Amino acid sequence: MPHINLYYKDENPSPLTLVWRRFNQRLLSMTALYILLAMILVVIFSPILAPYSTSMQFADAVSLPPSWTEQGNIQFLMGTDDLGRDMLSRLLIGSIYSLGLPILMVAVSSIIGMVVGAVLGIDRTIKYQTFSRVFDTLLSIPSFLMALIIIAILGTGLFNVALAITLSLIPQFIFVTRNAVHQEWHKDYVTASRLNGCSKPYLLYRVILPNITPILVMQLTVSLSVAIMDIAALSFLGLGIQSPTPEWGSMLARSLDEVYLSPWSMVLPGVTLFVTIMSINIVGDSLRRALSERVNS
Amino acid sequence: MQLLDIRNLTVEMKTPHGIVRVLDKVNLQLGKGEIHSLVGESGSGKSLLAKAIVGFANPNWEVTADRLWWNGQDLLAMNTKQRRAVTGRDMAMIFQDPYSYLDPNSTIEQQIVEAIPEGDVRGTFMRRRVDRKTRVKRLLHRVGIRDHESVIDSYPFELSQGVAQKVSIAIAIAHRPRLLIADEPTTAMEPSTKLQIHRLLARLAASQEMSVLLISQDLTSILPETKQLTLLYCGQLMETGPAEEVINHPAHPYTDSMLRMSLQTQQELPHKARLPTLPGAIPTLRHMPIGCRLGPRCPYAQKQCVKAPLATQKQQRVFHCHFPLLELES
Amino acid sequence: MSHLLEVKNLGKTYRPRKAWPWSQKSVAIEPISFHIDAGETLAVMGETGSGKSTLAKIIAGVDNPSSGELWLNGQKLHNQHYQQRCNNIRMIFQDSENSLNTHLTLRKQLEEPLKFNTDLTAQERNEKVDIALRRVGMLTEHGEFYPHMLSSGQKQRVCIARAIILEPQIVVADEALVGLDPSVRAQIINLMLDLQQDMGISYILVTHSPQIVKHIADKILILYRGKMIVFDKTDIVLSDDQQPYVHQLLHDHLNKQIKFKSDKAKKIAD
Repeated sequence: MPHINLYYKDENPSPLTLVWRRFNQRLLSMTALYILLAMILVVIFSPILAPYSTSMQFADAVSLPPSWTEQGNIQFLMGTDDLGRDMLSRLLIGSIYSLGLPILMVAVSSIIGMVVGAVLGIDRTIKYQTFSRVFDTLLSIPSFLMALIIIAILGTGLFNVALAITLSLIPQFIFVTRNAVHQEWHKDYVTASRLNGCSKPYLLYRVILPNITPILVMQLTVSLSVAIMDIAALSFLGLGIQSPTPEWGSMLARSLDEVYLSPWSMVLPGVTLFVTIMSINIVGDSLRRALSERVNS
Repeated sequence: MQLLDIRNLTVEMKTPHGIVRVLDKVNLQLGKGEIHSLVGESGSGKSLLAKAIVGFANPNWEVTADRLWWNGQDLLAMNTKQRRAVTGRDMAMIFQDPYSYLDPNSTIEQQIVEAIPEGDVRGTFMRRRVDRKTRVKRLLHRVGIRDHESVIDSYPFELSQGVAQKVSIAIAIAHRPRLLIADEPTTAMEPSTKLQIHRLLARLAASQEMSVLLISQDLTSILPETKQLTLLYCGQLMETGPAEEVINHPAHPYTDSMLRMSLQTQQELPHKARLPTLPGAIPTLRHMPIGCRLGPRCPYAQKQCVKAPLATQKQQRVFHCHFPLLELES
Repeated sequence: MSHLLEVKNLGKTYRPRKAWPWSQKSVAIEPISFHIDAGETLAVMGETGSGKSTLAKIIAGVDNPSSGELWLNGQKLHNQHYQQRCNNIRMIFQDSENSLNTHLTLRKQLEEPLKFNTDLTAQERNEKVDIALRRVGMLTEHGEFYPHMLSSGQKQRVCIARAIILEPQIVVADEALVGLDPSVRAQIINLMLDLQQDMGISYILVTHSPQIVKHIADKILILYRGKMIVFDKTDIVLSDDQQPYVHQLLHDHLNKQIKFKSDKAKKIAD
């Protein structure tokens, strides 16, 4: 049934609704968002979706090309690798480590970073300022290098890698949150709320947070793509998740040896990684654009 | 001949809610060396008119006019490049906030030097340098900054609001424009600073043969030297004519109430008495009334006001109202 | 009988940025004392940088004074004790655009002071907000609006509603009438006068418009580089033109007026 508006009604969308509407207008950003959501669904349901176990080796189907080529077999939709393992299953399960794990790491580091950053943003005493500067120095080390250093101390392994990347992401969140909170703190509307007698948690959570959400969401998307890149790069170098575990980066590293014989074993994880990071970046960029349009209008 | 001659200028703006006419058949004539005040509240389209004159392009606007002549040349018939050449040579503009207009990262001297046309300085490299310096000093003197030494090397944030505005005027008049558009140059300034800037603009108009189009929010903060006065409301021309006559014998209810609202004209009002004012608020772009846009707020409004009134001319004055306050001798 | 607000030896010094801890502090306000009674309007005037905004901020509680005390009805006001202060002294800011939270509806913003300073239930709070909105000449439906839907005049009205919702005794207005359209400014002045009459509010008005001062102020306080040079009743200050600085601030602009006579004696509706 078509929606008919009989009465003239002044609608009054909230600022966040306005941002969503602008975001919604662009085909590219919506496509990227849907791809990202599909990827996350895959992460959640991959154990059900995967046709085979990741370690099951099919001796009669070693280095089988994808099913759409002439030598392909419909049993193995995306072919098999040099040990006869199903590529599709490995890619699906790999998404847990390559996308699911980064999401978890970003979630943990963002919560820690935002809380610390908010406290540092409000409190300008010497004690907290010293903390602030320490975190600023940490920021001068690239997050990947910092993850490398932490791994060098802790050793490789799934948990250590996750811990290393989580720790290396925290300073950025602290920096962004602290600056955003500090900037808002001196604006008139916060002063007005302060004079209303609001408690500090209320000020942070209800007054300042909605106004800096855009900045934080953008930092989240940036950090997510950095985390994905870092975990893939570490695994590629053999420092991260170890070989039998089907991580996209380690799959890329394995495929280097037989890239001439079975190019699909390199192209498929590479393309997946590319599409994931691309869609995250587009979502972040469109968000920024939608926000700046709101500011201009 | 008029320097600037605008007839029936209409600007239509594309908004998400359809096309809105933000300037509705506005006329404006400006003679050489004249001070013309353009008065209107926010949303009246006064800044838009200035932008239309200097050719500020925006893909969401459509500018049409029966006539938009500058010094006998049709501005609308020119292409962008020609128009820019004319605007750049003959016009200059100053704005409300001098700090956002000046470059915060270079000194005042650098900024004024930049504004001096290349053709003005001749000779060898060293000659040109010295020449530029003296020109900067002369410009600063001209805008009433006597203490040029301290100003020349400062950055904009080191200057007070009044001095910064004077510097922006110096930059504007560096290429000797024939029209200076001042877009609310004194809003939010202290009264004494405001007075200084006003005196400066009047002096420049008198001595430089430069016309000034002064845009202002308040009818009582216009220059005493103003020759012509134009009142806009919501994109419609309310009244225009010689300033003294318009202020002393307003024909349009809007002019009349604008004068009454001001404390400056209400000297006999008892202490803490309520001020006369127009009821209601300025309509937003989406809710423009039809006909005379003042209609819903006008104390004299009647049934006819849903139709836009035609222009009534009486000697040099023109006003758009069905029920003018002036007796019309037929 | 004690005054409504007594300011005793209030002073403010700043440490300039990048200065050494032992270097001399710059003085924003030298110790000043004055008082206001209920229902009075005090106008604070002075050049830019004379400390008039700082004084307003200290009285409203945004800043802390470096020295001196504030006494309200014989009670001492404590710094950073917002609940004590905001039931009695409220502030209206210069820039109504920035003093409203863009992400909250007006109702939520007006509820804020009630939530933290009263024991009212949600329904009572709603009623209070409705009353406050109507009192400043807006509709109760405006409560569901976000600030970006309002005109600048309406925003200033909401700021006033927020200031009066706790029924304070003093409202500090820091340049609250600058930059408003003439018709809106006249409306806001009328609104402030009405509220003063109905609720007996005292205003501390920081402004540089001599006309407004002359019209609505009962007392005038003039600051010059942090020093209080005049504090007296309006008519006394206006009739005495001995001091050149006062002359420059007030008399110069009041004498220059536009002569205006309308032919018709019809009155414009208020």
